[in-house]
Parts: sequence; structure tokens; C-alpha cells
Amino acid sequence: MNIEQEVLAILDDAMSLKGRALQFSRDTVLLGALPELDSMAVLAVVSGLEARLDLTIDDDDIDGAVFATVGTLVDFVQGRFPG
Amino acid sequence: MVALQVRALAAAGFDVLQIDLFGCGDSSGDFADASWADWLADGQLALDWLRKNSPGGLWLWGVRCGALLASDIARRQVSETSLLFWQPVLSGANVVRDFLRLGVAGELMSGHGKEKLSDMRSQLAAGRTIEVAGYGLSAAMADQLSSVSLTCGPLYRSKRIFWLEIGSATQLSPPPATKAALAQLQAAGMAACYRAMQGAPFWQTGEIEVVPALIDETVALMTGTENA
Repeated sequence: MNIEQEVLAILDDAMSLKGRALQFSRDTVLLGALPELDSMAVLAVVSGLEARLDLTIDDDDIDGAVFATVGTLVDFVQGRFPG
Repeated sequence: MVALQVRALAAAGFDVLQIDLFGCGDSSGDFADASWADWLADGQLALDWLRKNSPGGLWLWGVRCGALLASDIARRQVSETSLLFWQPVLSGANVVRDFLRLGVAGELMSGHGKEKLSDMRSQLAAGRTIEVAGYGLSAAMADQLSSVSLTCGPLYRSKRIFWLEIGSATQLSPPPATKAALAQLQAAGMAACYRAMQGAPFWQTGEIEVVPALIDETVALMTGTENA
């Protein structure tokens, strides 16, 4: 599984970007740069990660640093997988 | 979406009663004062009314947390009720968690000194109400919600469940947790039928979104004319 592609697909769904997020790079800024990323969308990203990647995200894992860029989000997700 | 579905079902010959729960929509009361027991009672009232005023089999239909409520009402019936779920939440604990997550996400947006989710949980545990996006979640409601899930007890008299979801653009198979819940319901002897289709997540979007496929599929399943 390519985690970056999965994350981009989840971002795309969460913000209803109709494929635009699939063109994002690791450096794409998320929080504060995308008007579509409101608090409902953040929740949808977190739920999407859990549902589709079968991850458990802990109570205090959601913070600004994780949602800073595509790269920080991907690294966070990568870190949730064992090994 | 719900109003459109109500009309579509009515056109297909169903009597449909749509209710606003205590503290929601046009109903009286404040959301923060509502309890799960109030909502169970509201649903019971509606069911009793339908039993008196409409012949035929009874269906309980719920969207998101409403599906959870429908399952909890069905669990308390002595006669058969069938269930129609739209995008059901799997457990009340998830509802509480998502509500608090939304609060944390709101803090991220505003760039304020962040309140941690665990701090909010401590406040609930201390009996305080947490407010997010204009809705107050009372400690009592959080507590009651946390004990309910779709599979937390046998749905004694329910034999049929139609479970419809908007899948993502890239994935229409049920996510792992949903698959597990479906398997549990089927193992308990219920005919649980899952359908996913593409469309906008209408329950969470700012603009009003319509997913005609969901409405059509719901009518097809309910009337037994799917693929006809």
C-alpha cells in the first residue's frame, strides 16, 4: 500500500476536491492554506484514516503540526503502522 | 435529502412520519438539555402513533446517530420492526469522540491555544457540558451515548436491516469496522443488506447536497424492486 496515495485520496474525499488533492505534493500546505479544510473536513480526514487504513488515532494525536502539510500528515500516518 | 426521501417513499406507497427529536430542528428544548432517554421516548411515541395510524410492517429509519437511536428503539420493541440505516455511526462512543474531535479541529482552525481532547473528556467526567459549534454536549448525554452501539445487544424482533452508505470516490466496499458490525448482525440471524454508492457526504457538507442514487436505491430495497 502506498500510504501517500491513500492519504491524498482520503484528503480528496474529505474536502470533496474531485481529484485535485491527488496532485498535491509533500510540500503542499494544508492548515490555513486550503479553504476547504474546515473543522468538519479535519474530522472527515481523521475518520477516513481510521476507517480506510484501519488505524486507531488517539485522543490527543490531532494537532496543528500533524495537519501542517501533506508531508507531516503522511509521516504521522506512517508512524502509526507497526514496523 | 431526508425530506426528498420521505416524499419518494410516500410516492411508493409508504406512510412516513419524520420527527424532530427533543432539542433538535423545530422541536422544543435545547440540545444541551436532551438526554438519550428523551430521544428513545420521542421515537417510541412516533412508533406508537404509526402503529395506530398506519397498517403494515414498521420500519425505523435513521441517519448517522439516528441509526444508532433507531437500533436502540428497535431493541425495546415487542413486535417486529425492520431497520433502515443511512451512514450509521457504529457506536455512541464514536459520536462523543467525533464531537470532541470537531472541537479540537475548531481550535486548530482558529489557531487558539489548543484545548486537548483529553481535557474535554475530563470536563465531561466532571459533569460539565462541552460546547462545540453551537451545540452543547452534556455530561449525561455523553455518558448515555457511550454505552450504546449498533451491536451492543440483540435486536430481538428485527429481522431485516438495510444499511446504505455513501462510499468514497475510490472505495465502495465496507470499511473493516463496518464489515465486522454487519457480520455480527448477520450471525445474530438478521438479514443485513449493505449497499454503498458514490455521492457527496450530504450529512456533513455546508451546502445542501443531493444523492439521487441513495434515494432510488432506498426505494428499490424497501419495495423489493431492486434491479427490476
